[in-house]
Amino acid sequence: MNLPLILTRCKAGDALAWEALVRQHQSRIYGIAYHYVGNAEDARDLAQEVFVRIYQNLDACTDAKTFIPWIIRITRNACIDHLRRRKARSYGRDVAFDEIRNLPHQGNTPEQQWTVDSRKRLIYRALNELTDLNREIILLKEIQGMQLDEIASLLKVPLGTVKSRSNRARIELARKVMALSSE
Amino acid sequence: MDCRGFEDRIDAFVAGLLPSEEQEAAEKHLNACAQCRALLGIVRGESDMLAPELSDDLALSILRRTSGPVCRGAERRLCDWIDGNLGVDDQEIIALHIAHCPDCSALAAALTELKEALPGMATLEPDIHFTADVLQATVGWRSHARDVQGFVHLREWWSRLIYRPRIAWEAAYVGALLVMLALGNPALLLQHAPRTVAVPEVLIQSGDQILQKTTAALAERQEAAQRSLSSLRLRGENLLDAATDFRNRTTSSLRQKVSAFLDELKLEWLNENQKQNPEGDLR
Repeated sequence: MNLPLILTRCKAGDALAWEALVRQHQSRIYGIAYHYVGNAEDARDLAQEVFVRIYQNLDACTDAKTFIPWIIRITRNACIDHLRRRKARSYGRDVAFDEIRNLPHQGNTPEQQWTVDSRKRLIYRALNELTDLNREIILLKEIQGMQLDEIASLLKVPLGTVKSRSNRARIELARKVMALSSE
Repeated sequence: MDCRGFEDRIDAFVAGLLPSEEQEAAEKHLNACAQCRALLGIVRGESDMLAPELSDDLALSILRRTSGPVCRGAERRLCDWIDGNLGVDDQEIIALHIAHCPDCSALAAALTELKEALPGMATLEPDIHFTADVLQATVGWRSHARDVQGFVHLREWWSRLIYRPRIAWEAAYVGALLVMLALGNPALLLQHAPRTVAVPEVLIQSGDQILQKTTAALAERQEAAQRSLSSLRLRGENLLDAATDFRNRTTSSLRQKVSAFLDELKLEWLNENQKQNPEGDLR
């Protein structure tokens, strides 16, 4: 779908274009929110709140190229606000990945799907053992595919720090996955 | 030709490129030198020292004695290697290390798996009612919102304000200020307080009794302390007298003994002198 066109129509108040935009990006926003808060109910509420914010501030997004980083920024801010309200930024360490109701189905057989899901659960567990900054860098760069300069701007840390942290975070995550796999 | 000269020319010797004179000299040296013959065997690949199964151990022992372990350096560039961000030479260098290092090989496998798995975790499908809920919360709002944009901004500002951690302190401070503004300074209320207070008679009597008891107890304590002090003083004086008496007695006794001893000495001296000089004057 042509994102600039959809955005223009959304700004003009086209409800169908807005529905298309929501359907196109809801899984990404819900996924980010879940990574931050680690709780399906909170993630759902936050994703809905994020879409309301996006809808209310659509005029602020003047360039379609910056739309994805923009919605990630809004999602992150909403999640941080939510975590502050909870007086803790534990990123949902207490919640197991089993609570997720609908894993994205990738067209595999049930056996293959079960293997994929178990590997994902393992990676989620490993992610939860990382430091907050490392986990956030992994989430933004490796999972959401953001550029390093966008991450640096979003997290308000120097670009060099993001670069070095990114590789270290990947190594740390790989080691955690190896350790958990051997258990 | 000596060993050094042979080592310098060994490659040319093996390739048969030496001039005839040097070739003869080298052969002559080889006949005489067992070490250079062994070296020639290694260069020609005839020795067991270059057996393939020993190459890893050899490389490890060389690294141990020279640059130290290299895994940390490889680890730093492992992510770039997997992403293909290194130059051709660096890619080959890291690939060579990984081929011979089980730890780095396992780490590289885990990183490769993560590189494939992580992007697949970017999305997560919410429940089927999610889209409908979002549309219900937003559609129709936009046309109406243009009229109440100011209210929305105010609501957002209030939401940001109220959810900050220090809002409780600020609210308490503002509340105290408001109370002071509404009721005035609480310290001013004390100005109208009565300067003299009528104390009940019962309190005065009990206070007097407590004072009397305390004074009597203090007097008793003072008297007891004085008694103890005079007793101590008396004992001290007695001790001083006894010490003086002992000193006097000891001194007089010593003086008597010394005097008697001197008299004895004098008598002995006189007797001795008289024996040696019976006619002489006693001086």
